Amino acid sequence: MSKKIVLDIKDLYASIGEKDILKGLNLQIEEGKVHVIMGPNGAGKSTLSKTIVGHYDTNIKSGDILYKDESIIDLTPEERALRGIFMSFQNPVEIPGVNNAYFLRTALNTKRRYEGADELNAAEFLREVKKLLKELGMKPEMIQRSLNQGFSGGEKKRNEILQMMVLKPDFIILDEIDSGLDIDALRDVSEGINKMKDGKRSFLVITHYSRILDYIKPDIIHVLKDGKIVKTGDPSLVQELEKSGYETLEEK
Amino acid sequence: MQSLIKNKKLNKTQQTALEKLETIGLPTKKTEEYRYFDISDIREKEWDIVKHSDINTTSSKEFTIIDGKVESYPNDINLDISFDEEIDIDKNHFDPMYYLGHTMSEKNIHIKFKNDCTIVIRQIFTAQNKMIPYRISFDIPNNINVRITDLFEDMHSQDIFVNSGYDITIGQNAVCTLIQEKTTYNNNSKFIFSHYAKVNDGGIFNLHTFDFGEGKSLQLIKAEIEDNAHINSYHLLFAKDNSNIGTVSKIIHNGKNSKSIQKSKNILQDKAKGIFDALINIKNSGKGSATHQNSQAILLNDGAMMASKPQLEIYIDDVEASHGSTIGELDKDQMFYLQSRGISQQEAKKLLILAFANEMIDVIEDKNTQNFLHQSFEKSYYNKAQMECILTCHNCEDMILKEK
Repeated sequence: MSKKIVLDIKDLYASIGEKDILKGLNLQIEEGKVHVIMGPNGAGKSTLSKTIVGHYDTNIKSGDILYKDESIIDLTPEERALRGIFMSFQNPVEIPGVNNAYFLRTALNTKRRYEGADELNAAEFLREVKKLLKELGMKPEMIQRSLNQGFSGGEKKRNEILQMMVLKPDFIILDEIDSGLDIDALRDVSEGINKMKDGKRSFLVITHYSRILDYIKPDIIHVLKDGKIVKTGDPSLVQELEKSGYETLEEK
Repeated sequence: MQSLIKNKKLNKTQQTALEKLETIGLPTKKTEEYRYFDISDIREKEWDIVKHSDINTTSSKEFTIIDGKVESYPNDINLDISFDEEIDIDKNHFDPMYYLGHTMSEKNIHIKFKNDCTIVIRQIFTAQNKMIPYRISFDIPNNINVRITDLFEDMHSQDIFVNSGYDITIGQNAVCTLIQEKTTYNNNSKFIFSHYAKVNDGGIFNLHTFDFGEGKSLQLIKAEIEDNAHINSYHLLFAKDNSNIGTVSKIIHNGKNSKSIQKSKNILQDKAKGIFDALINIKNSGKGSATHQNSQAILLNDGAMMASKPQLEIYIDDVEASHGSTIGELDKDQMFYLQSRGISQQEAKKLLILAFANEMIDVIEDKNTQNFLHQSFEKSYYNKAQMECILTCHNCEDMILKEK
């Protein structure tokens, strides 16, 4: 049976401001698989995730990004999100005055409207979220606070995972979800991610460290260096990288 | 307008006010305080003064002032209410309209607080094509703590010119929290509120003003603070259509170790013009004083305008002071974050505007007042007469999250 590709990045050249970052990047994400991108600092990992979700900083010079066989490079960030793309931010922005519950319900109901489902009222929504808060080890009052305001690093990441669990996207980018997490938070966050695995949903995990891969079992590892994927392999590649670093890697 | 004053029979207060008015003259386009607020249409019109009915004042829970006349007030042992012909007024106010208001007001509504208490004043306007001059004074004796919520309704009036304001005396170690909400619906009405506040040693004046809506409205505030006295002055403005609304203020630190915080947030939509022209003056008697002043404005579209002029005038070295002003658009990273969760650009903007405004509402300690203000803002912002469930009400969250 041929593998089904959810995201297909073709010869992508992208810049941030005047600086060229992605230089002919090719990447295919398979349905139901956990892909991991590793690479040295400045390789373009975060630019790649920003480009997929349509961040205003990024500028595509050439190439294409196909999601479920359709180009998404001209779509707004919200259209990409509604089609099922979700990115967990490395540094989620704080938004004082925007209530976390209200924000999340607005996002969920926007998606439900898009999919032709009925909107949830405040009570229905909150009962649903209450269960998820418990699973993620989050205090109920977190949902009543301003979005990410005054949250610790771990709380911010848990909040990202909560959003992911509520919105149930098809393709999830986890941009350094493990940075700044202690062991307990890493376990809770990883459990949240593992619960989302259903054989159809795809993941792109961007990380510096192999630590999170002990919890989220990856299927395919890619190495990103100087704006290109230079190597793709099975999970054993992680050990190889741990041992010898990125310097010795040759282009595939 | 000049002819109104000429033929008037005046009491002593009115005479004093008129003498001051004649010295400084009515404001013109060149008057600094009215630089951003065109007063020519008010000056040039021959106004009829509103006439009040002879209905007697009744007793009720709240103060109700209709077109400048007290219709009902609480029969409260903590209050002493009188309608005085003569009161002491500030002899050195910067605003000529302060003196015009006193000249034109027949009687001053005087409220003296005898104990700690909370009052609500509803100021309702129903007149058509009239000038409504009236003045209110508050006397808060030493060590008394009061909260005054002052609400305006102008839905049934047309083309009025309201010239009013407060004279407030805050005694030693007394606290006055004044929350004023003015949601105006008539774009042909004009409001000038000219206030004077004196905060004596150790006193605290918390002033929260909320101006939402349309029309022309200017509040001019002079406040003097003495030794160890504080003023916290917060102003939230949401103006739309062709409105011209704002604040002109002078806060004067007379006393040592006095403290002032002034914060203004402004949201301008359509062709609205906002004003924040605020001076804080620390005199050489104000040793050890501190002042922090900040103004932020968001222009929602081309054509909206903000005149922001925070100023500090400091005549002594030993002070702590900061001020700043920003005028701009919404934060790009916050917008992107919301959009990345599927929320449309338009909806994301609304959420961020609410957040910007909420910060000023949430500093109010009383939850009921907070909810009322959230509702007022959202009604004005979303242009709805009623809202069953406001976005910033979290009562159902509390209830459901506490369910077992």
